[in-house]
Amino acid sequence: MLLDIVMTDDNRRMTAKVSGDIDAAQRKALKAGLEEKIQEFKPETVEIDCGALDYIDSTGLGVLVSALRPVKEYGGEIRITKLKPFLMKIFRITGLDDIFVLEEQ
Amino acid sequence: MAEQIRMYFPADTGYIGTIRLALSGIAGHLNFRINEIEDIKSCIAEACLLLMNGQRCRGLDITVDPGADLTVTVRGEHVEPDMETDFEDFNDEFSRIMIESLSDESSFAEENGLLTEVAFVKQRTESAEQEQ
Repeated sequence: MLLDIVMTDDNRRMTAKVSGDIDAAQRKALKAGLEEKIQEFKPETVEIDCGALDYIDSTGLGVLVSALRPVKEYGGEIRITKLKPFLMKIFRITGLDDIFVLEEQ
Repeated sequence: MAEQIRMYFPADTGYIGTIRLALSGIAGHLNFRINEIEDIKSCIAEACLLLMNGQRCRGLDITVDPGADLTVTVRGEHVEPDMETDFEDFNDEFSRIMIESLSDESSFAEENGLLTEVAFVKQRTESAEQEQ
């Protein structure tokens, strides 16, 4: 998994572009990357750009859910964008479409 | 007689990608559609995660029965409790929901409070030309 995080809009917007797979073997890098920037900048909008994401497992979903908690506490939101249809299906069947703002490719 | 495929992997998350790839190849060989193959790959990965979370097993014994439908069984070898193997942020409810929703049948077998086996079935649909 590759992770590229960019802060824009005077650090009010964070875009985390993830590519490859988010799975049990790779999730720690995503978790660490997201937590560090969210803690430092408290961006109003966190976009997880999944345009190049091929796969996510339940551990990866767990990382995203745990990232959401502090963001919600300070009134921000996480948007998960450019999801491939299969990945969108994963978010829907696990009910996570109710807690994240999702956008399909 | 339908052939049966058996694989054995160490119980290590580092091998789950390889296991997914193997199931992908098998399902492709059996003319499952691309979206069905994605379902099968997710199910096998989640089955492996469930068997490794909160417990330790020596290895993962995987049986693939390509009969009228594809039946996949993952059995943990020599399962013991081990809370140090709890995956941080892992939600086993997500994992079970994924298996139940992405497969046509699924089962979870326990012995002495430990999960020992996960099985799922993916039904064949009319074979179609592989999507490009």
